[in-house]
Amino acid sequence: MSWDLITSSANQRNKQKKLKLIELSDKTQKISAYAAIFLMFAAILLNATDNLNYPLILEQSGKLVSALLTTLAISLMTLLFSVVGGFLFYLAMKSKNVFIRTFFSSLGEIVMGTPLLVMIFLIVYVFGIFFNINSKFMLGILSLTCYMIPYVANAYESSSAVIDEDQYTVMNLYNFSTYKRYRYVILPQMIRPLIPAMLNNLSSIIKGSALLKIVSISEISYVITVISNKNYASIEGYLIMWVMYLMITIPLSVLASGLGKRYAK
Amino acid sequence: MKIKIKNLTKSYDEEVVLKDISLEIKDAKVVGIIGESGCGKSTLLRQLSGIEMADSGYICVNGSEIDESTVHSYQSRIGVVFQKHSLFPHLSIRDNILLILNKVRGMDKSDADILTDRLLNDFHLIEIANKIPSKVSGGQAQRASIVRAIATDPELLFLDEPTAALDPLLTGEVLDTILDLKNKGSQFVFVTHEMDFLRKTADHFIFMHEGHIIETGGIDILDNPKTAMLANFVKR
Repeated sequence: MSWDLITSSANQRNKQKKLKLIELSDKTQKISAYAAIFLMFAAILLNATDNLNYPLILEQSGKLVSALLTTLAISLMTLLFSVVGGFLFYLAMKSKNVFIRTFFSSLGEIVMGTPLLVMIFLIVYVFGIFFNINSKFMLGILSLTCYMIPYVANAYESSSAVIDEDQYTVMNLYNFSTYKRYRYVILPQMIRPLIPAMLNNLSSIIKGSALLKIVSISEISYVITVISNKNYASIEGYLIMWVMYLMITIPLSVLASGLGKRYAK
Repeated sequence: MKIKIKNLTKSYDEEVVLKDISLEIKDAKVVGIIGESGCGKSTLLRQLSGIEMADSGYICVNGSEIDESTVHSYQSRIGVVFQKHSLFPHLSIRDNILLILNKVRGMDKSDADILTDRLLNDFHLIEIANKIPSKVSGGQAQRASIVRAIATDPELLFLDEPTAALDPLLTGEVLDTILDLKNKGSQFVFVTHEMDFLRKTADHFIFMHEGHIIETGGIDILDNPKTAMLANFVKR
């Protein structure tokens, strides 16, 4: 073996070693960052105030589980309705009819500029009373759905950017109907970038659902507030609420980020 | 094919790209549109294929006048190949063709399957039939888009610089496919810079310069140009 070959293979081994060291260092730093976050989180939970008494809240585990399920049910139903409603809203915003396009774009701006709290009040106490709808559960879902629709429509809009002009030219040339355009060309391509965006929207819905306590819907925030008020344990209540929301939103966020990276490839 | 154009004008924003063009071709099989980049060749092809509507003027191809009311029925009888392959990226090569035949044009599924496989075989694409466009070479994708364009058995094909986006190594295979089409009797209008190839295939030429048709006619206009502009163009 020539001296050049020996040197080159030694160089390659050195390079590989360096790469492995960098990889190890990155992993160590990541684990350290997670550990630091965990310790910070634990420190807050254990030292938020004197005489923390979590069992006062946790003893009501049945109610907490039921509240968690209610939150999940509200959020999933809201997501389902807003995915459908958002799509229709997106179509309206893209309409060739100027009136429809302007109407829905302006409506979207108004909704996006409205605080969720105000939206809940409007839907429950104005819309609900006007249409004589008594189910707070349904009105809660309706308010979150109305609030989310423009955001979901925007997610459709951004996802549609993956379809280039040439594809529209081909669809025009072959005279695709609107249904066939969306069914066979546009939606199948929009779904990939849409999934991470929808998971992020779900996370926003779950967090937003906490405001439904103002209309007494038995979701996490309401149930914990009631329990903690009874037991004079507000701080414990908020901290447990925090943990419960994080238990749902962090896996969703990790999933959205993972899918986003996968689909970006 | 027969083409008649009268006083055709097309602008994009303030820029006039086609300037009061008139033309009559009474009988041709392959029409080549040539000229420098930006002279309006592709724009003329887009008007002839009905992809865009002219600002003013009259176009009649094979007896069909092209306007807003007739364009869909006209386009159901033609095929278009673009500079980039323009296949749907999420569908396999086979499904790109099947979608048009079966779902859009309503051909029976089994007939569409048989026709698609026959065309893919004829054009030596059967081995990549199940691959999506991004997994095949640029030349293969462009050939597949030609197959998609002819799958509907168009009476006329429009080719807008189909080799422009390809490197020279892949250009040959696309040109061979186009030559194959000619030998099978297809009629087409072809925008290209491949002059040697065009000389072999076209029987009518349109030379354009800055939005005007400067010369038009058979191969003799290339051999004996009347204008210095075409003479200079041919020399290159």
